[in-house]
Amino acid sequence: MFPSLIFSYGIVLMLAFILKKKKMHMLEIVFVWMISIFIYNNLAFLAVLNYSLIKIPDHNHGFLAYENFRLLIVPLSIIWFLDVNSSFSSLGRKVINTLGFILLMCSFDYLLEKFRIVTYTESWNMNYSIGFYLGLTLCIYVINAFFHKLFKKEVLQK
Amino acid sequence: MNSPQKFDINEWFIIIGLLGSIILMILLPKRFPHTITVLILMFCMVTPIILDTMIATKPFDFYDINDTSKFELFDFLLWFFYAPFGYFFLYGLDKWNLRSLRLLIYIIVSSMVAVGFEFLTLKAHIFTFNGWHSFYSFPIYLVVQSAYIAFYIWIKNLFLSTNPSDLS
Repeated sequence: MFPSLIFSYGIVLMLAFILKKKKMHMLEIVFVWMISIFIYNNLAFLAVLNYSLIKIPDHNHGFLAYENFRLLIVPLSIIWFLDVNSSFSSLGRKVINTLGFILLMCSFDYLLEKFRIVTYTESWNMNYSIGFYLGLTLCIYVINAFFHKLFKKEVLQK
Repeated sequence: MNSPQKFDINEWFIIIGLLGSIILMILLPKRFPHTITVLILMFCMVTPIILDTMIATKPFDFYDINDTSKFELFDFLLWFFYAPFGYFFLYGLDKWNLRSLRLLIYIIVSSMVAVGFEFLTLKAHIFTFNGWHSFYSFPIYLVVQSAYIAFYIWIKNLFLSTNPSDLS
């Protein structure tokens, strides 16, 4: 049941995202989507293949649910987070938004394990998830800031 | 990240290929704005990552990459090796302003070149097939290269239609 819930959530998130008025430019959204897939994948490879902290299911529905999470839910959540963050001017609100986002992503990690989409080994604990999403968020935040600057400069030069 | 088990032909192939393609990219006259170049390179890198992760891991596990089943430094560098090829492909498309039948021929020929290059990577032991065949790769390249073109046209139009006031 949970894999189909993941799919449904992914589709609803996608539809809500398409319908929502966004502050970020479409090219920035595309960039963040790709950079989040790139960073998430490489970190996940390390956790799965090298450190054996996570086991990915080898049954089809679990695998597809995880792919849906990896390729749709994680990037969309990050884009949504950045879009909301850009509408805040105070640092306090930005920090609260960041903490809320990390809490949301850690809850996903918890649910993925609870419903056996992924299996964490004994050496895994929730602090790893918190560190992982904090690192991912900050990394994407900084890289996107550079891209935004470059994009703005070139649009002005046109 | 793990180092390679043995530093042999596949590692040299990736190093020389990566350096060569980066040098060629720098030497070629600038054709796209940096924003477009970054997006092209990212798209051409992320597409193979998605495909490799889907079909080279369990449950499908159609091929292995490099020496071990661990994530090596050269597996990581291989992602960057994919990007310039898509860039050169779109560079040629833009330079020769290909349309209609010439565009179709360009996609077919470049897909054949990609299969040829894949054969070289097999000989260099970058890929080891477990039930996959280069014949299967050809339609994949046709789809992927068409997707590159669609993506390029889309982002180029978006870039050209962007005003400074659109950016906060």
